Amino acid sequence: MTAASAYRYLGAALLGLTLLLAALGMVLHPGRGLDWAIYFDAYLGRLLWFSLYQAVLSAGLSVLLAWPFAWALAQRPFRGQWALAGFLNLAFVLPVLAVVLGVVALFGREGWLALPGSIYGLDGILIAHLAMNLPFAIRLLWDRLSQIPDHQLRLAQVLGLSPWQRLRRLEWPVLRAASGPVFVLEALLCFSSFTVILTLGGGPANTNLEVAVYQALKYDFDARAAALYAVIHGAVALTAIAALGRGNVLNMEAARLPVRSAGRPPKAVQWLAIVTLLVLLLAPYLALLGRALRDDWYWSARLLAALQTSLGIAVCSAVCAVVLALTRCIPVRGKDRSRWLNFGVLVIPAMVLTTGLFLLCLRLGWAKQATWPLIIWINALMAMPLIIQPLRARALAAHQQYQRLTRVLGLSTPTAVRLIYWPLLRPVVFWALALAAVLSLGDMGVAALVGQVDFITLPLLIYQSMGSYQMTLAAQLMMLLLVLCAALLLLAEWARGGRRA
Amino acid sequence: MKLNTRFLAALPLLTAPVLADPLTIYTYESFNTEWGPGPQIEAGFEAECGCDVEFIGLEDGVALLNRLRLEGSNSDADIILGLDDALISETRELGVLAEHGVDLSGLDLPYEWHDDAFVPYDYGHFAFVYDQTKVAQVPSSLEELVYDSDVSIIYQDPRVSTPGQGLMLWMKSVFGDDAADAWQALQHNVVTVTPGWSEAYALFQEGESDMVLSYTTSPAYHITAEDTDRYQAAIFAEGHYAQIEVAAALASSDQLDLARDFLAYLISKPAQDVLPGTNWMWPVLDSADAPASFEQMVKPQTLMFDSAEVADNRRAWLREWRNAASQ
Repeated sequence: MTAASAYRYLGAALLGLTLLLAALGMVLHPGRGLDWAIYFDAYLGRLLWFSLYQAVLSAGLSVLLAWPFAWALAQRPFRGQWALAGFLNLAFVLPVLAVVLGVVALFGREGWLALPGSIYGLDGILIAHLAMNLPFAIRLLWDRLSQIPDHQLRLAQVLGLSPWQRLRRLEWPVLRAASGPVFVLEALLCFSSFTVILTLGGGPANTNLEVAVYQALKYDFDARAAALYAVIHGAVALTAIAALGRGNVLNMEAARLPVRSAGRPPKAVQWLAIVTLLVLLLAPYLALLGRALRDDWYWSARLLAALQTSLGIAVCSAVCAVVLALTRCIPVRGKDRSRWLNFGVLVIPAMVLTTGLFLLCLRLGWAKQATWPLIIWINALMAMPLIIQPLRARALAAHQQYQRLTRVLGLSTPTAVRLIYWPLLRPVVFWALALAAVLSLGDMGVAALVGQVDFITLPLLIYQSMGSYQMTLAAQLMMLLLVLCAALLLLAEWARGGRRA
Repeated sequence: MKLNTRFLAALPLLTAPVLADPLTIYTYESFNTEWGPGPQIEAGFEAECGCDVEFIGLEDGVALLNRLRLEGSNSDADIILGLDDALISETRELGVLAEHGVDLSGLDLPYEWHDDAFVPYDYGHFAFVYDQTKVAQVPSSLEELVYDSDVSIIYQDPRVSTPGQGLMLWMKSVFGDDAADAWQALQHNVVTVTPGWSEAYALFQEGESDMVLSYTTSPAYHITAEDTDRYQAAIFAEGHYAQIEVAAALASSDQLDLARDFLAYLISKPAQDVLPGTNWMWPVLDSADAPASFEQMVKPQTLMFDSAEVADNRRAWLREWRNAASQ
């Protein structure tokens, strides 16, 4: 077991080192800054206020709107609900920039449903956050409602409770209990929102801490301000997590698909919810498609370079993410003392980690050389918490099932891995690789912060065409990115499902 | 640390192919679009020098200064093109520039130019541009726009963009110590603040605002290219802040002679003929051919700060803007 524990320690050491180096970068930040006191000005107040305000508003709206959908969908298990659940998950994984572009294509000045005001500002931010977070909220609440025990449901039936009584006695308590954590989670996600606020914010009045970190580095070259904003950001995020309780965060992705088998078609109210949901969620993408098809395909000169970079980074970071996640899956005897590391990486916003590491590289004069490694590593860290649960579950099951056999047969660790663990883990590993690659493909924040002048990825290219308001080109490139992501996700599902036997 | 940096910086030299590196020029984005001056100037100079020129477009002018700070003497660039006169003092302090060795006598500029690092290649005056078919009540002064007008405006982020910075200096030269108050009063006119000039102008043309911060010469573009005089620059009673755009060679360049040749080319007649009709700014060479529409453009009264004063105060003024504009 020594090889395995060495591998395990390596993973823990890498995670710990990342956190340490990021902290070091914050402390050693290069460059001149102003007096610390000067940073505590009206702007910082406004930053904090807006960061919290938009997060609370976005999360509150998401949860409120999610209630009726979750309630309707949970009325009874229906045929094909796994597909709807998968679709809701998809909204969480797809590139944020796709949502932004879709919202602009739908509600922008030239959109199908042009807003009376401007899409740039709080309205746009809220709509984009809703588009991303409503599916997630519905998914979590639906999941909780489906966990109401069967005997309670049967009892309700026997007692002949009306739907209203059922809602009040059975479902509402569950909804209410689940809504708190879901609200905090969503608020946290929106609090750390970067791409949406950067692209739709429109000026210093609508800036959050995450964007302020980016602007401090890119606009003012003020590393001290960047470090300060990042630290405040991390502190607020940690406080929110503490309020939420650690277990709930770790369960975030463990939300199970409602698997109760059901051959029945949806009820009328469920049909209504499903159709409304599909229309709501698909509209931005349809608008985006419409925008993309408005002109002939435009072959951007930098597309090839952007594709190469994006795919290169996605492949590397997917491998890193899976290797790292696997180190965290090796069963350990007794209490797992390094489990907080998984937690630390999940809680500390990626932008804060990136800032710390980037500041360190600046300090060492490696800013240019560090671009690829930094993006690959941070993307891997961002993907790790999302893939670790299924990997761990499978590894644990394999361990429990075959541990005695390997001991009896006297298999060495490498042989056991080759003969037993690898064949069992392979489908999940492929799934994890694909998911991590999709997440990395869609990332813009890290690349935007770390990337140097001639560095280009597909999302950055899309952002730049958006910046020049070449919306059609941006929409076309986004369709390409979405097709790539969809292909990868299909591969992932195929790997997980098709090979399970 | 220093050693490491040098070693890494030397790596590309060791592996350099036999072919010479291209002459790399950092500039702002609108300079290098297919409608901007970049492609024509690139082709013109390449024909003259038999070398390869590569423009890399950053968000906007002030981003160039930040980029230089970041890259220092490790920069890939041989030339930076697109800083303006307000920033030269602060840029010089970085100590990364080479002397240009170009004869600048006889150039036509708003004020006398003596600088051994920066070559001025065009200039203009900032102004708010509007569509006269849509805006009836055009403010006649900056003060009227700020305190007594409902027209909506879009301007650029002064932390990134030289026009945005120009507005900041314009506000400062008109309102002085009351600038913070003026910024706050202006807030109710502002639709959005964009990172660069290109975005702002594109949004304005899509109808998102009544006016956009640009240059007095911008209407010349619409007269020449679109044959319409509906776009006008609002002339303000206080005068207009002037901008001289400049280029400089970096001392870290490994082809400094070529870089100097480029700077000389930039103020020669072939390049100066290109600039007015693509960058829509006044040429610095009196004999340069400008589109006929330039004859209708007025040259307003010039407001300006000394660049040393800008260097001393820029951060404080930026904070003043940021605090007022974020409320």
